[in-house]
This record gives sequence, structure tokens and C-alpha cells, in this order.
Amino acid sequence: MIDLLLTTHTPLLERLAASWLHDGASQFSLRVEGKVLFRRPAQNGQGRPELRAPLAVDGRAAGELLVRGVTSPGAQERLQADAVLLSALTASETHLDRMTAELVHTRDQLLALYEMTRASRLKLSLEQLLTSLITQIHHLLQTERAFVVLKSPAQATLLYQYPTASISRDTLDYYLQMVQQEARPLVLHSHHPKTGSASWRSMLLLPIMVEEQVLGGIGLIDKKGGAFTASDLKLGSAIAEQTALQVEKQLLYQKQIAQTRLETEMELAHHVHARLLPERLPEVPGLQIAAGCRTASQVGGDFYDFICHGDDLTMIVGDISGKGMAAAMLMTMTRAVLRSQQKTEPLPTPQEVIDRANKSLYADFSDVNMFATVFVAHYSATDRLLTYANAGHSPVIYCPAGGQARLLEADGMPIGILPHSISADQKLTLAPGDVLVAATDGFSEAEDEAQHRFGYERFLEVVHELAANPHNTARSLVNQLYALVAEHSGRHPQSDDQTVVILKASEEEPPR
Amino acid sequence: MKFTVNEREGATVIELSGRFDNYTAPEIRELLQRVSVGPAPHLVVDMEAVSFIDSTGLATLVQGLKRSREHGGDLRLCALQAPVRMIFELTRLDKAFEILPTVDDALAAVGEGHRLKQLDD
Repeated sequence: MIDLLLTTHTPLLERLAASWLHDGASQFSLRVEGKVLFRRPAQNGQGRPELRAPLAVDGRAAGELLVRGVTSPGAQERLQADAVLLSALTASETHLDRMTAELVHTRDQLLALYEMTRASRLKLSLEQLLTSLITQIHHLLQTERAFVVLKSPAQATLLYQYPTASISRDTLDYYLQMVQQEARPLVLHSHHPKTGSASWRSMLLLPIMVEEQVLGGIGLIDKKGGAFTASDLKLGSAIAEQTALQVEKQLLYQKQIAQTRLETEMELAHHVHARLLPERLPEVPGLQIAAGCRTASQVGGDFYDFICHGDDLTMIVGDISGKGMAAAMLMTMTRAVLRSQQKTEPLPTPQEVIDRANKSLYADFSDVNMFATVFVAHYSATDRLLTYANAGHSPVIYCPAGGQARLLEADGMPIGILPHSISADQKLTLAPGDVLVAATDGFSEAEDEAQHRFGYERFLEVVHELAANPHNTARSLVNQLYALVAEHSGRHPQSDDQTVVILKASEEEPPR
Repeated sequence: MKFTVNEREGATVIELSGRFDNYTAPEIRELLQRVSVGPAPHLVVDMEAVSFIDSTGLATLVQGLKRSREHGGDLRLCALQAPVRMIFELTRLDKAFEILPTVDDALAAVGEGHRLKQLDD
């Protein structure tokens, strides 16, 4: 300690020595633990020093001052006073030195903290963030070991330990629970009753809080050379806060990516769906044909199709269960299979079409746990005969001219439910003015803001009213149906596709 | 969607409550997968508190039916509300499922099934 004086205050010692020599001393020296650190004149002279005064810093012996050649009364007092002053000076220097070191250390910590915040602008994954955190905080706070645990909702628990995985998973879960309960920094000691037997002296536990929830914790074990201080707690908390901000940002980022992915998928599904609907409506003598498909935000599995065979027409309306990309994909399969049935000679009846399609599609539909309701109708223009089969599909409504609208109920189950379908062919003659409406349940299930459904009864009523007006063409019927359902729904968003095909038998003479 | 699961008289009774649609179906699908493992899982789904069902909900029940049968058991429905019952009738899925008025009726049917099986064995 006293040697500090030699580095910083040699001129002072020179002046002290000079004043003693001026007053008749032959030697002035400073000795620490038997070694001479300072002597004037430099060479060692003869004789033993008569005056001695001890130096003490912070209550401990630190050396002595020696003077030879002066014996006057009061000289001992004077040397004693010099020693006291030098001791006090040394004490101050020592304290200053210590404070400077602390200041430097704090500055280092601030720099490291700054580095952390700067690094946070880089796009690190959660894993990278936490591994970088654990090494930095361990270094900053000078601990033997450190760990970080994070339990974010959409992911598995992330866990990192530094320098080695020295703590068991169960124990870490236990500490995480503790910090989640307390939701504030904790200092644990190995003799703390709650912790039981532990292989560490002291632990600083810091919560990582995101949106007022403790998502994880940082644990710092055994600070080198002492116990955790208040300033450690402050620094640790600042770091934990920074970490929480980063974690929050990461989680938001991930949510955003998932959202964008979903939107892209929806756009793609819409695109696929739109491409597969017929571009043109067929022209069949004696028949007005109109169709529409209004998709919801998440596309469903609705479709309609027309296949012409000379003047005859096959019409299909279908609905795959579920929504989104999966339903759109199965829709393409179903449409293809149904279409291909129309290419065989002789032309199969609607029931045969459904039965064969079911055989082709059953395995795939079962595998993905979906099904398809389908209405297949074949119209023969020469005799105005409509042959149809219905596999679980509704609403299909037939309104004879001037008569009562009625539901054409399904007699068979949807495609994909059973390995063998059991619908049957039904027949209907379309007299002039008769209307057939084949829609999907997006109409009947349309809800308003109070979750009231449009309903089958109302749909039937509406079709009846509209069809009763002889001036309504198939096209105007389609438009008015959409308008009425839209009116019912109001601002409530459309939740399912609304698809409809309308056939109206016209007065035009059918071909012979 | 809220649900409860109870074991009663050798069957697993699942009470569903709320809307059975696109959003709530995945959870129920998982539940049915869990409870339809062998041997012979006899499931009774109490639909009394189900106010709405769409095609996704129907597909989920169909899946549950197929799986339980694959494992030598069955799935029965009971206490369907009128609008839900109508959906089953319109899609003709009322022919695919055994639908009973009350849970007790369904449990009786399970019991009957056990007895018939014992006669066969």
C-alpha cells in the first residue's frame, strides 16, 4: 500500500526528506516489511536511526519512517505527525484506486450492455439470441455458471446452460416455476429452506417478462469472489428487460410470418378454385342456364361443372367438407374424377357417376378424413327429362311453374363416407317455366351479426317467390338470390362459399 | 369448444358444447383420436349443447366413427338439437350414425351391443 506513495507522491517524500536533512538529520528513510523503499541521502550511512514512527493504513501496520542524526525534543512528535499524514494519504490513494477500478468495471459493463442492444438490431433467431445472452451475462456479472430458460407458447421450451449443462432439466423447471410465481428478481442461497440440497452457494434468478407474463428466467450461479450485490441485481434486471424486448420482437416476427404464409395460401387456393370453374355457360335449347360462385375469404370446396353431349347437358354441383387449401385440392380431384366419368360410352346415369366416383375417391377421402356432397343431373333436351342423383347435397330446390317449391332431398350419403354409395336415379320433367336451383349450404348457413342463419325454410320461401315471377330469367334469379343473402348477412363476413346453378325451362321448342 | 369426458357403464361419454365448426373441430378430432384406441372403444357423443355443426364438424365425427370401428368399437350420437339433426338428415349422415334421443338410450345400446357380441363369442 505504502508503495503507492512512491508511484504518485515521490516529490512529496523528497520534500519531507529535504526538510529533515535541513534540520540536521543525516538520513531519512521509509521502510516497508524490513525493506528500504526510500532513503535520502541514497547511500546507506553509519549508525542506527534514533527516531522511528510507524505507518498504519486501515488499522494495519504498513511500514515505518526512520530518521538518524536528530535527537532534539519534539523531533519524535514531528516524525509521528509526518507518519500519520503519510498514512492518511496512502489510505486515500488506496480508496481512490479501488473506486477507479470499480468505475472502469462499470464502464465496461455499460459498454457490454450497449453491445447487447446493438446486437439486438441484428435479426437473430430466438436460439441465437439466448446463447449469445447467456455468454454475455455470465461474463458481465462474473459468475461461475449461468442458465436461461424460455417457454414461449407456440414452441418447445428453450434451454441453455453455460459453460456446461450442469443442472438437471427438472431442477431448471423448478426454478422457472419459482420465478414465474414471484415475477421479480430473486436471490437464493444454498441454505434457503425451499431449495433443499444444492451444489451452489448463491443464485440470482431474473424473470423474462413479455406482455406481463413470465415467459422464462435467467439464472446466475455463484458470483466469483463474493455475493450478489444490489448493483448486480440492477444490471441483471436491465439485461433481462432487454432480453424480454428481443424475445417479444422475435415472437411477433414469427407470428407475422405465419400470417403471411396463411394469406399466401388463401390467395393460391382462390386462384386454383377460380381457374377450375367453367369459363362459359353452355347453351341448351329450351333451357336458361345461370351460375355463380361467391367465395368467402378462406376458400371452401364448392364447385360446379357442365359437360355437354350434343344438345344434352350434365350439370354437377358439389361441396367438399372443410375449407382452405385442403378443400380446394380435393375439389380438383373430385371435379376431375366426375368429369372423366362423362367421357365413357355409354354415358353413365347420375347414380352410376356418383357410385364410380365414390369408388375412385373413397380411399383418398378417408385418408384425409373429408367427404364431398354432390348433386349430378343429366338433362335431355329432346324430352325435357332431368335425371338426377343426390349424394348428401343440399339445398337443391325444384319449383314447378305456378306450383310449390320443394327440396329435392338426398337419398345417398356423400362421397367418401362409405366404400359403396347408395344413391338412386330420380326423374323429373321440366315443363316451361319450371325452375331448378342447385345451391351449396353457404346460402342457407349464411349468418348475420347476431348469428341468425338464413336457413333452409327461408331459402325455400325465397326461391318460391322469385320463381313465381315469370319475368325472372335464370340469371336474374341468381343475382337476386345473392342480393337477398347479402342483405341478410349485413356486415357479418361471409364464412363459406356460396355457389348456385339455376336451370329454367323456357318456352322455346326443344329440338325434335 | 368446451367438452367433458366421462367413463360410464363401459363407454366413454363425451359431452360437447358450443359450435362444432372449422375452428373448433381440430381439438375434437384430437380428442376422438385419443379416446378411440383399443380395445373396443365405445364412444357416446352427447350433442345436447351443440348449437351448430358444419361440414368440418361432420367430417370429424365421421372420422371418429371409422376409427372406433377399426378398433372394434363404435361411436353413437345422442340428443341432437333440431337444426343439427336437420343437417344430418339433409346429408343423409343420419344413416351412417346410430342417433339416439338421450345418453341413457345410447348407453343402453352400447350394453346391448356387448350382450350380442357375447352371444356371438
